[in-house]
Amino acid sequence: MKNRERILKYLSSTISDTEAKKFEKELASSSLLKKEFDEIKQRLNKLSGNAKVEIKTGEFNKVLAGIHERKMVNKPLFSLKRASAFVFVITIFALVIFRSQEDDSQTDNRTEYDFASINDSSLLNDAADFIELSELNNIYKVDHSFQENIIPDEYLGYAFGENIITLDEIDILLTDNEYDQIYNEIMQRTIL
Amino acid sequence: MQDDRELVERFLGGDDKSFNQIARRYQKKIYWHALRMVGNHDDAMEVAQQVLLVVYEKLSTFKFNSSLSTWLYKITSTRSLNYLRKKKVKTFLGLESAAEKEDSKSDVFKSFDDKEKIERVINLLQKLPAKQREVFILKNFEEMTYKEIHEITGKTIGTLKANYFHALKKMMELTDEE
Repeated sequence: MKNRERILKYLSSTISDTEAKKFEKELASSSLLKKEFDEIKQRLNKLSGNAKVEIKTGEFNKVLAGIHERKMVNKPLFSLKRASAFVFVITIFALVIFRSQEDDSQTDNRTEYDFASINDSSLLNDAADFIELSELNNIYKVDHSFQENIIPDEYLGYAFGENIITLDEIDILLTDNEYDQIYNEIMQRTIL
Repeated sequence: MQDDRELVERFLGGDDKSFNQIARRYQKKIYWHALRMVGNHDDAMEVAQQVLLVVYEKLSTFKFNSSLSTWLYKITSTRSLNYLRKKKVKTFLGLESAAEKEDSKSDVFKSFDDKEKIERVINLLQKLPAKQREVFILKNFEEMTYKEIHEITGKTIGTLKANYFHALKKMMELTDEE
């Protein structure tokens, strides 16, 4: 679909009012554009169609019952179960820290997760969540004034190389290939 | 039917039953939003419970600067994102298997067809990065405006538009593959 990008920009309002009016005018006159537009709308409607699905209400009584239970049960701050879990977590963290210090001195032996070799996109998304924004800042110069806690997959749309790209420029300046290039560069970084 | 403000005031005045009315009024919305965010029934029920517990404890701080519904979506979004983050850390440390809760036997759907349709959509949603997913859900399923989503997420309108654009693009690619 050659008009898909334009249609999605229109639907997400990422184009100016003037461009939107121009698009609407074209939509009224071009049967091809209209056909593609309707197909996309239909697909989105199909996705959101389940909002009308009927659900059993009885199941929710468990939620209210659970709240009541949590309110009523006065758990001691450090029950045996909690204390054991606490000790377990501390031990795990101590081991992780110990291992990472050991690995720092023996770089060749360290365990690395090479996210570039992972083909599953959901795993890549997971991996992206572990890359700190501050770390990414060392690679790309980004204007973060308008965003906080943004995860890399979204962030990729905003920066390229040493240039700062404003939100309005993203779609004009970045081609799909450039987008892929940034994505691959970040994913090729190895993370301990 | 009593309006939200009246119910909140009665609850704050000591009438615990009013809270049940608030919970019953909004629990489906909370559940649906949580389900779409976290991807399975058991986790969504856990998030819904956490949300209502927070509401119970913090309702006295709610000043009606926004609607009660907006406030509830805000808490649900935050709780869902935190839940996902914690789950990832647990999975990363090997404390929980990623697929551990996916085969829940319990569900709330009346028909099997509905269940299948919903699972398909929920699985597609899980392929979006969490924050794109959040905007996509609020825009596409809850039919909210960017201004309303801004009130919930705190993100600027420009960022939300870009997130939604990328979410739409990815969703189209995913449905192309089907």
